[in-house]
Amino acid sequence: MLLLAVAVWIDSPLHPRLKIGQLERDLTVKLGLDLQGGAYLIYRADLEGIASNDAKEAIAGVRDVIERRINAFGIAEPEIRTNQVGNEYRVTVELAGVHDPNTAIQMIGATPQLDFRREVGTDEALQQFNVDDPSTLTGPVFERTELTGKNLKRSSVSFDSVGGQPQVNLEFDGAGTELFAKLTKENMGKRIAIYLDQVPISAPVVQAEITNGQAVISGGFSLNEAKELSRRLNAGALPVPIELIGQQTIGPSLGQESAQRSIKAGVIGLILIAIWMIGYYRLPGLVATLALLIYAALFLALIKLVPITMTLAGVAGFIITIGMAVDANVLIFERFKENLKAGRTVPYALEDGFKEAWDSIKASNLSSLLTAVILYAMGTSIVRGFALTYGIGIILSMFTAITVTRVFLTWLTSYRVTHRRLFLAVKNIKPLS
Amino acid sequence: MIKHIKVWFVLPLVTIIVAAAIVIIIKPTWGIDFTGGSLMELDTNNANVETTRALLNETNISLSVQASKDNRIIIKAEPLTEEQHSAIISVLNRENLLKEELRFESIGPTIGAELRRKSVIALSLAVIMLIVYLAYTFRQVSGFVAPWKLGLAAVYASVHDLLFVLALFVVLGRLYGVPIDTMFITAILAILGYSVNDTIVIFNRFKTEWLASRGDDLLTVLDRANTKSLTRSLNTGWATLLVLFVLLAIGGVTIKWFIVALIAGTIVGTYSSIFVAPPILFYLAKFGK
Repeated sequence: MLLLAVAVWIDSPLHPRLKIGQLERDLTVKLGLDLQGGAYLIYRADLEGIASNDAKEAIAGVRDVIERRINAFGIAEPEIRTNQVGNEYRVTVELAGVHDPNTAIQMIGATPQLDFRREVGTDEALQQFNVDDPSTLTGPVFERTELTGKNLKRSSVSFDSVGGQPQVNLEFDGAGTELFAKLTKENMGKRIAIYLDQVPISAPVVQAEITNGQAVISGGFSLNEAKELSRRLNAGALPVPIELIGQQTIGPSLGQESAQRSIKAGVIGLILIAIWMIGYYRLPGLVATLALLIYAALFLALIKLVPITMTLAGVAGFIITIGMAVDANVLIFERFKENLKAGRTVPYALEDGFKEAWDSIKASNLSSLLTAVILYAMGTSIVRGFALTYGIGIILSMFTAITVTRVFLTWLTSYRVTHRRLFLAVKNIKPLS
Repeated sequence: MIKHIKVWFVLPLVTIIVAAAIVIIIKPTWGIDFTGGSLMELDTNNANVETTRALLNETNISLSVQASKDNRIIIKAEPLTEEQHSAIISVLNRENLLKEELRFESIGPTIGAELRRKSVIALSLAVIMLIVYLAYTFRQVSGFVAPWKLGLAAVYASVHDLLFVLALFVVLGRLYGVPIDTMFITAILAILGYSVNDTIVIFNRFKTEWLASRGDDLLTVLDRANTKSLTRSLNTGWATLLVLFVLLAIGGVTIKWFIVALIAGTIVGTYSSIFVAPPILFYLAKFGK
């Protein structure tokens, strides 16, 4: 009873949050990406050239960088996991509720490549690039230097003190500071170009040697562009390259449609079962319906509390356990009726009915639970969603079918007025002496 | 009910052989999650399949276009890179055909191989565990039938059910392109649970009846166990089907074939617990003596 009260309180939409001391829970049902739209991405990390003892660390680095990149763009709670399959390291990313997954994929995959290039004279360029006709060379020619985004410590956005234009500040690490000092010293009066993803974005003329490891990119950015570049630079480069080897993307409208339809199906299914059970088993059917409702309330409370993410397969798993909850009750009632027909009085028929049915309920539910465990261990995300709700449903439904049905049915049949065909659907019930 | 024991021995055997033959000869239509590949489902502004196909020719990606319901189209192809994926989208956007990309799945060949392996492992593991579990549960009956025979009989009935549903989906795959994918494997495992469940209830009844009645022969007791559990078997099957049919009617397209598999499994599972498992147990028990 107490448990039920707690469950109903949790289910009620009036309390969106729960707080008990340290424990704080958001009491809204978490929807999987197939029910609210989103993307499931599987990446393979290319660990070629990395010693096997460093692999774990490299993969953890990949994880962190991806997480920073996603968070930088304000996507709600990405779930990122790493796992090893044979010799392959994988990173899976789940983005629920993302309306434009393709952009997210680009964000994750995009490594901003920042590098500094020095200006070379036409003569030098001719030698290096082996150009036959010098007149084809127009404009300044730039050559790569050792200084790249690797040497970046952090980056921020500021405003140009003269024109108020947004600009991106760069701060180099130790090695970067040295390289930059050397570069500026050797190229006094010439230009140094800053290339982002192979495209020059700014090429200021060096006025003095810079030894404090600070540089500024003023490429005529808008404020948003400057902020985005700074964030991307801060998120850093991936320690190893990654490759998208599998993805599943569900648009938001398909997800919503599925969610609404399955909820509707669940409710209608419950109503039909209730009608049939009450019609067929009468009073016990009513009790079973009550048990079923309590089961649904407990189940909802549990998935909110844990919390368990509901997926479409999860909803299917739950709906199948409704069948199993009914099965436990059917087993009990059939034994009960059989005992009544054999001429036993109601209390004994009921008691023995529970006892005899328990064996079958236990054996059959345990075998289903075993299947649920295997399914969960097999572990792709769809199958897991199904296995989890299926397993929880089996345990909960077994519990409610036995306890709730037993308590209510024993209580109701303690009134002799119920010992009639109208209530129990059995003729000539032996009256209590 | 199963007094004509020979019929109930031959019929399931024929079912198994025919089902196996269908699976081997027609061959399953594997889903992209097993073979690797891409699938896009798009909501369009009255896009026509032929024009869409012609339009997408310019992307130089080999793909197939099918119509789905309500202006929706499904595009299948080899595993697509993100560039190829956006190329398709931009062509459709340019012609103002695309309303919304409902879903996009792209599975690389390594993931496919891994999922295939995992599914095989899960299925074999489930079967072995169930035999062990059943042998353990029915260890008290060892006086007259070896417990492992009960396990074997239950598994035989489940294999019968699984092959039946698999053969059905191989045919559906040929007729309507229904794929055998991870969702199907999930359904198969749920069916396995249900089928064994049902059989356990009848075997349990058989155990009680056998212990209660000394002197009756095995077949009579098996038949009595069947008759006495019949109402329960039918009622449970019926209640499960009630929910499943509601799901099928309004549950949405994404889980349609999953539900069809479960419905077929529930029907054949209820049937097999009465007409397949007890008869084979009878023969297994005879065989040992």
